Amino acid sequence: MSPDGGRVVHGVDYLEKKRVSPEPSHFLSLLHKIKDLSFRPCNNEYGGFLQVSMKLEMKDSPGQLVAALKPISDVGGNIIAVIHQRDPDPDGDTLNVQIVLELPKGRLDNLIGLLKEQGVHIQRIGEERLLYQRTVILIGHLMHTGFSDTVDQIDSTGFAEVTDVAMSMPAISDRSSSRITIKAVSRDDMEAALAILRRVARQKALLLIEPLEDTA
Amino acid sequence: MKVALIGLGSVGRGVAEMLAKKDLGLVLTGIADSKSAFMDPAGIDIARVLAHKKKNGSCGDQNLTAEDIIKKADYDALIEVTPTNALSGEPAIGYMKAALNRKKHVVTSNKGPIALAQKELRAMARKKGVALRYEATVAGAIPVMHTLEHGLAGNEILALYGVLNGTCNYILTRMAAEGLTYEQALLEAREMGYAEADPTYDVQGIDAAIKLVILANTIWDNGVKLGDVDRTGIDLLTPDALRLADEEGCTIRLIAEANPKKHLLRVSPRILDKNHPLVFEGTLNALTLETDMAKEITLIGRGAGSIETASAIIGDLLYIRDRYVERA
Repeated sequence: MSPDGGRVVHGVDYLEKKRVSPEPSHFLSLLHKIKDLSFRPCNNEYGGFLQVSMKLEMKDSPGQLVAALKPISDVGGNIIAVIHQRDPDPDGDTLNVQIVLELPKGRLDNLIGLLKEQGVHIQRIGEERLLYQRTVILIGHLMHTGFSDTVDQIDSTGFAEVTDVAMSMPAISDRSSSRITIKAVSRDDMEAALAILRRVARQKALLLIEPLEDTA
Repeated sequence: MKVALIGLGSVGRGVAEMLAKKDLGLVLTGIADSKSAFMDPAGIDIARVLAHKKKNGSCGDQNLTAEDIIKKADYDALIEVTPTNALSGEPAIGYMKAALNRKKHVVTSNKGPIALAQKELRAMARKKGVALRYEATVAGAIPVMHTLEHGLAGNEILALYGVLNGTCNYILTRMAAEGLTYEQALLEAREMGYAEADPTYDVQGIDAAIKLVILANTIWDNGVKLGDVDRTGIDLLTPDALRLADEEGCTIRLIAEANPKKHLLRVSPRILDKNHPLVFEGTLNALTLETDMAKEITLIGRGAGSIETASAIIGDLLYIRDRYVERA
């Protein structure tokens, strides 16, 4: 119970019950397969591809990053996101990079071998692929305007999803407040997801409160 | 240096008191309120005028007006601190033009004219070889303009964001700390004297947007107007929203931000980590400037108040004295 006697619902369970099935199409079902698998803490497989995230450590010298990423295309893989670690190594001679990639099934061992040959140290492998997280707050007539639809508009993208919801509904006629956590594969995907949410909030006359990021 | 003061509200009174109290080498030769005016080329006895104003409700001769002072008094710099009109900027714009035309420097705390007619007034001052300074229009006592002009000279300003309205910051502080509704926190702000009878300008982000327009035009000279600001106020926030933010170690603040490369000019409530430099309690203001060389600089201080605003005005006056008047 919230302090004013309203009802508070936490977590995704509530949403799962309310979730509307998407239009059955091959494309969407593929996207949803990726999405559902993404909750697993290990490698995600779909179709003939495997999605992996890796944390790599390599020498910080010119051309090293390109050389390290080359084996990925050599095994027929695609890079989805590359994230440089923010804090530099205190000695300054190594570079830490986190990458999300997809590659054909059965090629992971091959890739690991090639990376080792390049002198790249693999610190971690198979982490959660949705690396970017943002929390927003939505205020308004959230249920009357179809909350599960609001969430679905993010989830159905395939590149971002709502992973946590906390909601407070004081009274049926009052405006509700909710805190929504969104995860996405890359910074651009997060921006795209937030753009969708801004549009939905405008259409449904909801107040969307976004986090303040460094803007420059 | 001789100065004339137009406007004897809270800010004008603060300026007059400080001119009387501090030995700044500034001589007041003309003064006007909305009903009367008074001039003396030898220097006005400020204490006497303020006492007269307190007793009779007017500062001087009812047959004289502000225009008379601006057009006839003997002064080097005009201090224009009349109530702001965000729609027309008048009569202040007319006052400033009349002074600039006489080749008199102008110092103002008046946001309306600077948001509406900054370009025109600046061009006029340049043409006449005098200064137009308006440090007090943005973030009260915080020396934003001096920092931009001198401390950060040579830097490219990439973006800025800040808390530019103390009333909203107070309301949000109280909603977060006590779980008050917006209406309760607003009532409290009124009782404390932080909010006007009509709080629209503050709570709907208009005041912050006007300051954002002044900053954007000063820094980037991009001609943006109040209508260009994407603006959301705090009046629809719920205590639950603040509680939901609090559960994550965050809170909500009204943030004004500008980033010309991203075409961003926005005032909106935002979620900030409680450890963020822009999260502080009460009526303070703050501004973060992102620059190419200095990177981030954050200034925090009093955004309003009679003496606090006088501090910004006196800083502008002494700058003019040192730069133009003493040298001449």
